Amino acid sequence: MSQTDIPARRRFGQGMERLAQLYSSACLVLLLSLLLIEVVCRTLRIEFFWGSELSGILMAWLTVFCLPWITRNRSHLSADVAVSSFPAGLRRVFRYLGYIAMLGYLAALIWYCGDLALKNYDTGARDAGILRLPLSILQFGVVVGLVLTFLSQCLAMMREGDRHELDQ
Amino acid sequence: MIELVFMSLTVIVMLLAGFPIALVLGLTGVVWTWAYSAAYLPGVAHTVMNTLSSETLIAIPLFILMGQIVQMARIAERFYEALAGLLVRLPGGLLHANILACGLFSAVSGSSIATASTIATAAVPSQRRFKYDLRLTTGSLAAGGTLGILIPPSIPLIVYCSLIEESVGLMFIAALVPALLLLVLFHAYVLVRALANPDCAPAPAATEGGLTGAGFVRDVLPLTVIVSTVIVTIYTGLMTASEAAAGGVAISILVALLGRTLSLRTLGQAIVASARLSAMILFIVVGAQIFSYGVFTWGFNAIIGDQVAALPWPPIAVLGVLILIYLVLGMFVDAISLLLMTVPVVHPVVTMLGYDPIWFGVLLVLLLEIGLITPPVGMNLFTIKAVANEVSLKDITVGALPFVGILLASVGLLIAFPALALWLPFH
Repeated sequence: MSQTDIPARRRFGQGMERLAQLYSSACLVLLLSLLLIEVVCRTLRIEFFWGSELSGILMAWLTVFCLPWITRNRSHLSADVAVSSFPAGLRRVFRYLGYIAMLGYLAALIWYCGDLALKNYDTGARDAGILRLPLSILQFGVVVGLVLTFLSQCLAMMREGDRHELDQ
Repeated sequence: MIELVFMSLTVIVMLLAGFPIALVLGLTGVVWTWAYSAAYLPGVAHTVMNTLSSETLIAIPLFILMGQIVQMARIAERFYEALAGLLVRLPGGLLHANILACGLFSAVSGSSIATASTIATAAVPSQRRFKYDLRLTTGSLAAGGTLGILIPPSIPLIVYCSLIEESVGLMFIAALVPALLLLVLFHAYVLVRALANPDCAPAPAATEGGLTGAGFVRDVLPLTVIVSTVIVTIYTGLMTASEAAAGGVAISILVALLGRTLSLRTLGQAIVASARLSAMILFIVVGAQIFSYGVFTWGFNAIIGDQVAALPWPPIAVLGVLILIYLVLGMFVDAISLLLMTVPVVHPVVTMLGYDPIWFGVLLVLLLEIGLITPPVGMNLFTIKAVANEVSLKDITVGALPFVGILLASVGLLIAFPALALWLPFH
């Protein structure tokens, strides 16, 4: 591993997370705007379906596109009462196991969610709402978010390795 | 039955290994579904998609955003300071302000930790200055913060509703009376303590305190308007929970802009922080739903239901055991995670025993509140410790103990009088 690899990898990871996070925040702003417009339109007795129809999609995207940042910064909730009392070496082993387990979990989600999205794309399955939006729109977005999270998790694991190497 | 034991062991081992809760629940669900039959695995994808686009959960990111704006625009801190000026002459003075401000801010933030940290930041310096008993001060702040998950709009209540497919609006209304009861009991305790021992909350000099009309409009009114708008629109059926949340965000932004306490930069920070927090919570909810899918695939819910039905115990005894389990687990696992891990299994049992799921939701949140102020993993205790570093964790814990007693008494009252939670939603 060359010394220049580390900053390049880190830059790539951070850039990717920042973009994904920006997209996620945009989804939140759009979700808020749509719901507000819906309330105003209902008060004025104007038909507006986009709020309820799109909110599910925006909500799914806002969640999955923020996951890369969350998984890399390990800002999940966890009950680390027991593990924090372990010796440093054992703690590191558990951290690696955690990364591997998370990668396995994400891989399973990507595989099955991707399969569902492809099937729905092929069959042209649509939402039951009034606008009848294709289901694959939401589902492909979720798969992309999960893939980015997988990548971010790989980078976080490599960073852990780099840190361990430097410590030694 | 042996499979159920092994599934529980999978969860316990991964929890002890310090794995993220979202991973523990999700991976257990995937692995156990696969162990039952790989043919059921595509159902995991449906679970992920349905959860992520769930209409019930849409309120979560918006309520979080509302809380972030109120916190970052210092609306809550100004509210506390104004309230402190108003209540400083009462026996127990600022301690009442602690509880009332926590109660009202929690109604906006929906988060106990955000409530405890925001109000404690404003409260601790003045109470130190007035030489208040720091155990009582920090205890009241830690306990006041727990109101955040009971007073509507509460994030754990929304998550609970998404798991059991109940109306969020009904759930919020059901939580109102128990939340008010708890507020009154907390105030009564502070009053009794202050009357019995005035030194624990000494009255300040005559020049301190007071609130002008302009001060009321500037500092007290904004938070009151935000909270009442959200609660009234949900209660009257004018808006759904998610629309009320969106309305709450709009009013918070308006109030903060009028008070000139919100810049574009701060608003941006609030949006990013809300997206992160929401994603963190919703990823756990996704994991919990996959876990539920695994549980249902194996039929564990039915097995547990049959086992409980075969017990020669009255329903109240089974409920007592469940409460004990929650009290013990609450000491080690945080509130939302505990709710997500247990509700898929406990909810069918509770309904089979003949208890109302809405009533149980309120009871469950009261139990989770206790977990927030009991060691070793009482999140509110740690939050207060982070703000008031000079007070030992032991003192904060001791200060919070009487409030644990009050919470337990509330649990008892709710069991004895279920109408406390069930009367309002149906009238």
